Amino acid sequence: MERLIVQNDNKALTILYERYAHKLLGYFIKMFKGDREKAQDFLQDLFVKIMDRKHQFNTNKKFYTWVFTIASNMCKTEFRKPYLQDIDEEKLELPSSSNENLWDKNNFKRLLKEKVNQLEYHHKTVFILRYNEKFSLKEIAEIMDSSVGTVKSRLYYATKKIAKELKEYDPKNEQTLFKIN
Amino acid sequence: MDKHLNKIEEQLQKLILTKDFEDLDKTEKSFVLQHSSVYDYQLERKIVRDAESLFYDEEKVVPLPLSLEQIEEKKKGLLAPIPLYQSVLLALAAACIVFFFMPRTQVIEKNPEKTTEYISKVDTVFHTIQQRDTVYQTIEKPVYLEKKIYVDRYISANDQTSKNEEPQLFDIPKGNSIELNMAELKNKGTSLKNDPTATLLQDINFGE
Repeated sequence: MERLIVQNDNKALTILYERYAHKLLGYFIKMFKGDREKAQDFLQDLFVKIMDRKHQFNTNKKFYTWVFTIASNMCKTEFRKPYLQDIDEEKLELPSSSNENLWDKNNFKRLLKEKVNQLEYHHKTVFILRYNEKFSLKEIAEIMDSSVGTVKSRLYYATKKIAKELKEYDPKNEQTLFKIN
Repeated sequence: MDKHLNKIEEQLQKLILTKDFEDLDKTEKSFVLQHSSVYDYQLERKIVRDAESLFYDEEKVVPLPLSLEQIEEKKKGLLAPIPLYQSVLLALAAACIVFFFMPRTQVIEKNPEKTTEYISKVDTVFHTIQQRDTVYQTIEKPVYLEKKIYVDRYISANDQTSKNEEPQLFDIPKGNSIELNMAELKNKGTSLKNDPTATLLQDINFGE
């Protein structure tokens, strides 16, 4: 990164791209509900932004965190566009047969993924950064320009919200499935 | 906006992230049952655990090669960032161009006919006029003039009292000396200067 700042070197940028593009692309795909083309475009734009803002980078901080800050801000701007909120709003069908319950492994993941995708920007970002990108609470706070307490709170309420909506897909609910002796 | 977590919620979150319900000790189970339910705990635990492998397919997508052309364009082209003073100058230049090439919508007549338009307006004007006048007042005041006439008379030798009384030069009011000082005395006599007989007197200079 220092080489990129000092020499304005494309080779340095290519190295950074090779190192981080994969993770960043995954992040964009998750944030944009699986839209891979859009994620690829955002990835290219992100590296153009890195070139633009390279002088803003504090070399005492982690490049990885800084680049995710830019990526999150790009997602935030995109989330504000109204059309994005209308995509994938189709309701998931309730499990039809008694065998297809919430706790079925594949069914649960499908439903969970859908519910994560439906989360609003702040909840979704902390959820993905924490559980998929494996950032610490402190790093997430830095990326989202907020406090650790806020990040904890958002994680807690995001999980609660998903749980509340998933309960609706469980016809048997707790009496039959979770009887603890 | 989400409120910050209290101690109970924080503790609950910590347990969900670290332990299955079955692995909780007696105190922890009691704590969970007090503030939540087994079903909710297990559901949230499952959400957190499964979330890690939720986007497995998405993570396998290979990124396209970096478009260096786009970046080069950005460096050299119009999209390249320019200093603030340059952007100000550009804005000024653009404003000048727009000003000179902007179509004039206002039509200027070469020989405009002079027309007088009367616009009736109703207005209230308060006008204060100050009038000044001279008034002559005639005051009638009676003036009393006193004239004293001295008459020479010949006094016989027998008349002693009349002999001693000589005509006085001043009309001296009778009274004490203080009043005499305050009184305005008028000279009613005849100056020697004007007297033709005065020429008979020698060695007298009359100030001529």
